[in-house]
Amino acid sequence: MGKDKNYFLNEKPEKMTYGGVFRKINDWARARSLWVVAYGTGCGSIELRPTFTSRFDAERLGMRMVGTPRQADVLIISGYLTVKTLKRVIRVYEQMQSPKYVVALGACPINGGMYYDSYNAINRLDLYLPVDVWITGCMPRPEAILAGFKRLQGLIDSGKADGWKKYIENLDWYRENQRKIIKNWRMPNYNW
Amino acid sequence: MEILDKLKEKFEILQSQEKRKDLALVGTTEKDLIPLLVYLKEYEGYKTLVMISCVDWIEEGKFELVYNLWNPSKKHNILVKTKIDREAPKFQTIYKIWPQAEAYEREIHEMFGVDFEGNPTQHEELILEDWDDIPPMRRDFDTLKYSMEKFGEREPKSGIIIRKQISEQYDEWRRK
Amino acid sequence: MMWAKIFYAFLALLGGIAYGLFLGGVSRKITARMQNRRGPTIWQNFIDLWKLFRKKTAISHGVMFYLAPMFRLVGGAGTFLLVPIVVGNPYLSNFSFGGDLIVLMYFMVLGCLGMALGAAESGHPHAPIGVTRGLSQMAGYELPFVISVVVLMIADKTTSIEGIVRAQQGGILHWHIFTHPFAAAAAFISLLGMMGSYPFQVVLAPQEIAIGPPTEYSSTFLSYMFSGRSVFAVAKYLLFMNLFLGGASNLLWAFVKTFVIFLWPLFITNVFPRFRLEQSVLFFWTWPSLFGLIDLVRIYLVR
Ligand code: SF4
Repeated sequence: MGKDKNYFLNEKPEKMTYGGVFRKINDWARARSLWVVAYGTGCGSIELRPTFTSRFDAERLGMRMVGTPRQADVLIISGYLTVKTLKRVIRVYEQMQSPKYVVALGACPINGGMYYDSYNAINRLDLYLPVDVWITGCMPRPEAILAGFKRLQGLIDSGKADGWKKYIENLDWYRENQRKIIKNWRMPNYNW
Repeated sequence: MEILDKLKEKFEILQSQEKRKDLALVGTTEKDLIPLLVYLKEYEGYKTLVMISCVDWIEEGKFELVYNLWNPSKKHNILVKTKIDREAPKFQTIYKIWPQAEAYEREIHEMFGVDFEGNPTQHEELILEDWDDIPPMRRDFDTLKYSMEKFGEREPKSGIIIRKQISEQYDEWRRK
Repeated sequence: MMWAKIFYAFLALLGGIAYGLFLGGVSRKITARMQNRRGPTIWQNFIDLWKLFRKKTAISHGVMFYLAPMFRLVGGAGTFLLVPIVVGNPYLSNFSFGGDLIVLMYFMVLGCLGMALGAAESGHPHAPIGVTRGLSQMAGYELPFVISVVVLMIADKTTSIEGIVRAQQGGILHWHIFTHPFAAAAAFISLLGMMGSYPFQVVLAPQEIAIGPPTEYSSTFLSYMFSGRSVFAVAKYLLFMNLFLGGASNLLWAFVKTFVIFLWPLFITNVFPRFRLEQSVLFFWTWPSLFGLIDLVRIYLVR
C-alpha cells in the first residue's frame, strides 16, 4: 500500500453507537431511502434489472441504484460467491458507510445451493459477512425480491437490522473466518 | 471429405472422423500438431481459433488438447486433437500463431497444470486466486472433500436456524 | 434594516433549498410517469437528504476533501442570495445590488471549482476524470451564456438584474425572450449544459465513471452537496426568469415561471441519449454561440 495509506483507516474502527434524539425519524428515513450499490455476483443480478426498471419499479419504495459503495446503504449479494469475488465483496462492504445492510439472494449464499461441492464457491455467507435479510429461491423472482426489501424496511423501522453493528463488534471473528479462505490477504487491514 | 484426405497425405493422422456437415475431427501426434495448425491456417483458410480445451484421460495417463478452428468462408469447423503425457504435462505454446491462444493456455495451465512453454503470462492467476491444491479440473481432485474442508459444512447438523447458530458461535468464540 | 434583510435572505435560502428538493422530487416523479411506472413520492428527496445527513462517516482524505462540499453549498447559496426573487419587494430581493450580474457570473463557477479541488484530493480515479469533463463542459456552455448576457447588458445599458427586470416591464411582449429571441435561445440551450441534463450529461455519467466527481463522498458531505445542488438549480431558474421572462411581481408568479423553466431541461433529459465530451463542447461552441452572436450583431445594427 504505502502511498495509499491515507485513504484507509490504520486502526480498528471504533464501535458505533446508534441512537440519539432523532432515532425514530432516522430509522423512518433510512427505511424509505435505500440506495443499492450496483454490484452483482452470480446469476442473480439479472433479476435486479427488472426489479429496478419499469416493470417492477423498486423506485416506488424509495430505492435507487448508485454506482459507488461510499454512497450506498444496501449491498445485494445476488448469488454464489467465489473466493475471488468474496475479496471484492468484503472491500465493497467495508467501504460502505454505516448504517449498512446486506441482502442475500438465492440458495447459494445460504448453504452453497447447487454449488455446495464446488472447489471455488463458498458455502455459507454469514460466516464472512453479517446478513440482514435472506431471500430464498434459485433465483428469486422480482416479486420475492421486492417482498424481501419490504421486510428489510420493516426491520430497519423497528431498529432490528443491526448487522453492521455486529460486524464491528465481532470484527476479529469475521476476520478469522475470512483469512481462513483468503490465504493471501493483499488488501488493507481495515478498508473503511 | 476432401480436407481430411488432404491432411492424411501430408501428416501423420491417428484418427479422423466427419462428425457433421460442418464439423470434422482429426487426431494427430504431438510432433505434427503445430505444422498441421499452421497448414490449416495459412493454406486452407481456417483463420480463427475458436478455443482450446483439455480433457483428462486419467485411465490412459494422458491429457488431450483440443484445438477448435473455424473457416469463415466455407463455414466449417475442425477439431484438432493430440494427446500429451499426464505426469509432466508440457506442450509448445501457439500464441505466436493466434495471439488469443494466450488466455486459453493460461486457463488450461491453471485448471489442469499443463505447462505451455514460451507462453509469457501463463503463471499469472486468471480465475483462482491463491490456489493451494492440485489443479481443480484434474479428475483425481475431490471437490466435495475440498469444499467441506475449506468452506465448512453445508448445513448445520441440527435443524436450528443458521442465524441463531451464528450468534452462538460468536459467544463461544468470545468465551475462549 | 440590515439585520432584517439578512433574516429574510436566510428565510429565502431555506425556502430555496426546500423548493429545490421539491423540484427534484417532481422531476423524479415525472420521469417515472414518462417511463410508465409509479415512481417515488414527491417528497423522496427530503427523505434522502435526511438519511444522508444522519449517516455516519469514517473516512477522511484531507482538508480540501472536507471543504469541497462547503464550497458547493456556498457556491449554490451565494448564487441564490444574489438573485432577487421578486424585484422591488424589500423582503424578497435578497442581496441584489447594482452590477450584481458580473459578480454572479463569477459566483456560478465557484461551486464547480471547489468541487474540483476536493474531488482531486479524494484519490479516486473516476473523480479527476469527472472533474476534467466538468471543467471542459463549463468552457463550452459559458460562452453562449456570456454572449447572451452581454447582449442583454448592452441592450438595457445596465449590469444589474434589477435594471434588466425593469427594462422588461409593460406587457408580455417586452420580455427579453421575445425582444431578443436568439440570445434567449442561446441562453436556454446553455441552461441544459449547466443543469447537466441529458444530451450534455458528461460529468456525472453514471454508466461510465460511476458518479464522477463525488465518487468518494458519502453521508453528511453528500447531503451538503445535495442541498447545494438543489439551491443552485433554483438560483439558475430564478436568474433565467429575471433575465428572460420579465421577473416576477409576486411569489406566485415566481413559482409558476420557475416551474416552467424547470420543465424545459427535464423534458429534454428524458428523451435524449448522451453526447461525448468533445461533441458536447463543439455543439456549444457552434449553434448556441452563433445564435448569441446574431443578436449581438443585430443590437449594434439596430442602434
Ligand atoms: S441460487 Fe441458483 S440462481 Fe442463485 S446463484 Fe445459486 S445457482 Fe444461481
